Amino acid sequence: MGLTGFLTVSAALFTLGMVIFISRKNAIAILMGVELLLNAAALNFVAFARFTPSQASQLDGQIFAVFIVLLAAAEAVVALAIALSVYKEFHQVRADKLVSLKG
Amino acid sequence: MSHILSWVVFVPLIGVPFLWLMPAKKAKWIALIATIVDFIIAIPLFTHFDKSVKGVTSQMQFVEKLPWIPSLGTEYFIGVDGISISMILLTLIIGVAAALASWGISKYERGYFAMFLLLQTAMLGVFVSLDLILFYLFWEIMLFPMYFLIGIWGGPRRVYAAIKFFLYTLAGSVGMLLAIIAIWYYAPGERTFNMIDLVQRVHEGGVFSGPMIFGFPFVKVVFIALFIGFAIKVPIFPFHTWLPDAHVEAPTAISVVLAGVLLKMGTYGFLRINFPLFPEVFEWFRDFLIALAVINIVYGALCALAQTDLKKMIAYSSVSHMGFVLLGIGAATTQGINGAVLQMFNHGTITAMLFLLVGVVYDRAHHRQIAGFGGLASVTPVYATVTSVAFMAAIGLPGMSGFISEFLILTGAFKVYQVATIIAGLGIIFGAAYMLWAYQRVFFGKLNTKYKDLTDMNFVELASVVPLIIIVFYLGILPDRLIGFFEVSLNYLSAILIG
Amino acid sequence: MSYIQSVIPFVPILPLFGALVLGLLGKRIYTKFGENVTGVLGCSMPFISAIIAATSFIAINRLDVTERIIRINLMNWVTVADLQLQWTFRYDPLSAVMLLIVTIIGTLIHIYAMGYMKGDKSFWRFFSYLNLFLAAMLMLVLGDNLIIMFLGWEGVGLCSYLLIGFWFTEEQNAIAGKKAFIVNRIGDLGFLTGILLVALFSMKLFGSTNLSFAEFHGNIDVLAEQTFWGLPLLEVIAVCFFIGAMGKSAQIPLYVWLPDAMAGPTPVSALIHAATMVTAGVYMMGRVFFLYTWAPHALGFISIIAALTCFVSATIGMAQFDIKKVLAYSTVSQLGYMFLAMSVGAFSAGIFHLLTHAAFKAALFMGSGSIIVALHHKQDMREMGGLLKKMPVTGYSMIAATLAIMGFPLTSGFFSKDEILWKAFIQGSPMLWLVGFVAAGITSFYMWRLVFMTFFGETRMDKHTWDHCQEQPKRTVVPIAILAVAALTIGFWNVPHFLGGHSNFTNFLDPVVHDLSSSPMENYRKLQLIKEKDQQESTAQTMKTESGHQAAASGHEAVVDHTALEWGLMIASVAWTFFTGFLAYIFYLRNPKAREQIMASALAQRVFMVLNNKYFVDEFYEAVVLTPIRKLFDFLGAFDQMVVDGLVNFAGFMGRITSSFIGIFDNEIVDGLVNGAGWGAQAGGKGASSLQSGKIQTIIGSSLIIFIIIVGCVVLFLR
Repeated sequence: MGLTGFLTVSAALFTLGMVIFISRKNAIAILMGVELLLNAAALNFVAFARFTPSQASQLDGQIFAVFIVLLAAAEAVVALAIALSVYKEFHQVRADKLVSLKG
Repeated sequence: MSHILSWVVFVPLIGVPFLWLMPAKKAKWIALIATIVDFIIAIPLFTHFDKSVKGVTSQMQFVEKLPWIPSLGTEYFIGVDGISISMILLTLIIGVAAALASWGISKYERGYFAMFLLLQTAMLGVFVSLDLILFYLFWEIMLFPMYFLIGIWGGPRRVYAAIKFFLYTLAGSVGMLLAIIAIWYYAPGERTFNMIDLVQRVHEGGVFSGPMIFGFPFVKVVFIALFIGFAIKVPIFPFHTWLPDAHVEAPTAISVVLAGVLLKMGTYGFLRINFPLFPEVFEWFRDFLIALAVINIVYGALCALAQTDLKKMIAYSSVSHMGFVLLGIGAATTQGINGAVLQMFNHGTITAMLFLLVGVVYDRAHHRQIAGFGGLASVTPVYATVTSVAFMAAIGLPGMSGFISEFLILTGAFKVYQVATIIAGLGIIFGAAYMLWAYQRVFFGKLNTKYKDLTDMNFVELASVVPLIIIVFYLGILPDRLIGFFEVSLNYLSAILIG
Repeated sequence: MSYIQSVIPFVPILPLFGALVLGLLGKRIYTKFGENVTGVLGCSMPFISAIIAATSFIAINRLDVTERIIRINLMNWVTVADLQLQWTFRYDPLSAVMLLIVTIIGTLIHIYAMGYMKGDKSFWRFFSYLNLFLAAMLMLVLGDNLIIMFLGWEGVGLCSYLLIGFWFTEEQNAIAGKKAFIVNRIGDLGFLTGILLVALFSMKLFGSTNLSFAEFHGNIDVLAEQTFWGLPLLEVIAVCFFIGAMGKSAQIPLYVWLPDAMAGPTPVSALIHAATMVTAGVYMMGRVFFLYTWAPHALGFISIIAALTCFVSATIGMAQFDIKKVLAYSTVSQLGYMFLAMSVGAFSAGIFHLLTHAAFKAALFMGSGSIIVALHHKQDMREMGGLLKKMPVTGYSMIAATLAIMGFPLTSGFFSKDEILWKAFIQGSPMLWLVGFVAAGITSFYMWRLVFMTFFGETRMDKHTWDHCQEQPKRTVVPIAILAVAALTIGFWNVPHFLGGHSNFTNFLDPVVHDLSSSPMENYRKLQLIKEKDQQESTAQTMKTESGHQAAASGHEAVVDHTALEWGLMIASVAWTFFTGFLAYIFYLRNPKAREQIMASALAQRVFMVLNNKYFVDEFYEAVVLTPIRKLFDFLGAFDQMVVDGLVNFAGFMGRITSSFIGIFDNEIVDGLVNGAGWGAQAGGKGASSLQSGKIQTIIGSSLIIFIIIVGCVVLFLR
């Protein structure tokens, strides 16, 4: 099983995340889409790290993946906190109804 | 006293700030004092004037010369010779008379008198400038106060008249400015705006080396451009129609200045710049000029006969009388040209008188329709008498100044243009006709009962008219006293023009 | 400085001073001191002038004949290059005679006017004007050059204007005054043209000129060689001068103002329109007689005009009922006589008739004025009659003056008129004589008609007027009587040779005015012959005495004895005037029925109608001259307003139209572009801002699309 398989799965995950991100109205769902996007990226890192020809930096990709997991956790915490604040303020978390940033 | 000429020119302007130091009602005193002071400090000008100096091409007197815009070669260059000194005298006299005639102004007095004094300075400036740009500057400055004086303090159609006056004169002066620049650019020898030098060079055979313009020789085009600029001011038929409107709408004092001095600026321009700079073109143009003069005389007189408004009639009589000036200048013989300048002076004093007198009746009756009066002589004998003197002066009765100048002009013109002179003589008959006809309808006949309580002339009105009457008689009996100032200059100018 | 030189300048200056004083202070004097003081003040200046004139006259008679031309130079007037005019007076026999006439009659009329103008509220103004008139008239008479004469000439015109319109509340008077002034001006233009011609040629030929009569006289035979527009110069000048005289002295066709001028107060009619001003033309011709000796054709023209005037106005005089109008037409007719004399070269006879006419016509006018006042300003002779009883002094004075004007033997008119008729016969033509002869008869007729209608017969006025009319006070009638006596006696100054006299008057004038000894045409030929001879004999002789050639020209020819003819003509004219006078007596006093019978015929009616309406000359002028001029100036006034000013306003209008077009263009297109750019930017901004919907998903989506587009572009094009 070569690199292409990993990348295919990663692209599928990314597309899925993107579609969720754009099409879902619920902010929580969008956050879940973001998690998918992040994980797609992490999968990419790991895959590239595994198949890289260079022996000097075998672990670089792995480190990035760990970072992404940490970042995703942090992001989820912050974003959910925001979502909760938004819900407190507006009594809902539907992204298409929250237009106070409209120019 | 050094810089006396500058003082004479700018003293009226110095009076302007003082207007704001006085209550508005007293502003007229400042104006009167300024004009009188101006007259007094000008006296040395006349007593020290050397009558035997030729002027025109050189030897100007009381000269002042300062660099002004060196890059253009423009200078503050002023001075007088015989031609201008008589006009300065006229301006100063009319200035005092007009200040007195402004006694009844009761609207924005300060503004009025500020404009009036600025006008006085501008007119004096025109007559003393010897630099073309300076001349043009004063010429244009003069428009500005005139526009407001007519446009604000005038009669019912004042705005129309003011705009017409302004635009008409401006249209003429555009051509004049272009001509001045052309003269400077193609001047014989070094480029200069110094008109005395230019005349001198032309007199010594210098030629303007300009190109053909629209297929006409350069000098002719420039001559015509200048001529139209000045002709509008004179005014010469067919450029005269601004005059009746401006006169009718202007307040009395401004009519006085307009007829007394402003019209002379046109003929002064002919004598100072237009003709001596282009003597050959003048030679070519002369017949046409005489024709215009005769048209002015006869046409003006006939139009005056047709008028129903007293002021308009006098305005047209100005057209007719200025025709005599043109006739004299066009003939350019010694008598003709001397008579013309004398006529400029006399017409100034006489017409000023006429307008002052019309103002007197207008102030009381608030209209000027000739047919609307009748029999005034029985309620206002002094006014009737003074008016009859003024009318007789305008008719050119011997013993008064108008006759001398008309006779000189006719004598001078008769030397070269006999037929034209005789036709011009017809103007004298028509002149008598319109004056007497108007006089009869206003003063004679049954008294119009509407005016049975009309008051006679008051002291201020008399004070403005009587000095002019004295001048008219004095110059009728001793015209040499004035002719002496300009005879030498003008004889020389006549020699330049017709060799 | 001799006596004459020192006093003559005061002759015109004193009345001028009087006029000024009365004009400026008259009202105050009048209200404070009353009529008499004002009147005496008004009379004093002319009176002093008259004394000076009389003493100077005596003084000049004592001088040697050759020294009788005295020129008094006061100061420069106008000097411009070759034109050098001076204030100079000239006192010589001719001006001496005129001075006497003007000052003495002037003084008498001033005194008379004190009575006539009694009670007028403008009493002072009247005397001021009269004084001014005298000043101007004396200036005219004393002027040494043509321009001073012209000054006086116009000055008297002005005073005439002022005095005709003296009672200005009547529109009619004012119109008459204006008419007089303007008609005079037409003549003056002719005079002025003549002066200009003299000036022109004098300057051209002699370098400079002062236009004095002496200079003109001295140059006359050089000027005679000149032509102007192909005509002999002197003929042209002569005609021009005569046109001036036509206006001032009321000759056909410019006589129309004089009858209208009777609108003025009667002293004015007497002084100005009978005795002095209207004779200025005659005086002027006498002054420049030397010109006319060189202008025979002009004289021929003048003789025709003069004869016509003389006859026509006499006929009009027959059919007038206004007493002053009769006298006015009589004046025109008598002026015709004077010009008749001038035109045949009998200059002194013309001047002499001027003198006698001044006396008798002034007396007649003053008499008529006296009647008019007595009748409370009624002038119609049909309402008079029988006044001799009531007003004896006036009546007898007027009868004496009438005797003089008809030419009753040994009265002044007899001598002067007879001389003219004789000269017209011998130096003119029998035709001229005949016209003058007939006119003399007519004169006699209308004058006696006037006398009979006024003083004799039954009165035709209403009782009230009749009861109230009485002889006027002394100050009015004494001057009339004095003039009447003068009218009877003054003729003895010039008794002709064939009656045993010495023609003293003619001799007195001789230093300045020479009569021609033959007809003007012959005289002209003689002058030319003499000149040719002169030129042949000595071309070097350039000295000219003032009267050299003329004296030679009037040298005596073979004397033909005309005494019998003279007697014959004289008796004929006396008989003829007696006859017409008698006719008037029959028609208007003894047998009015005869007159009514004649007047009943249609022809007589028609003739009378034409004469009474003065040949419809005024109507003719109205239609042919005035109406077209009125139309012309009305047209030109409208033309100026509509066309000339219309063009200017049209130009202004076009300017405004153009500017409003440009305004529209500017607003819609030029500014439109600017606004369009703004609008575009705004619209673009609007569109772009709609992207900023605030919906996170839209933002992300669009940025994704843009990202894809950019990447696509990079991949497709930039690789």
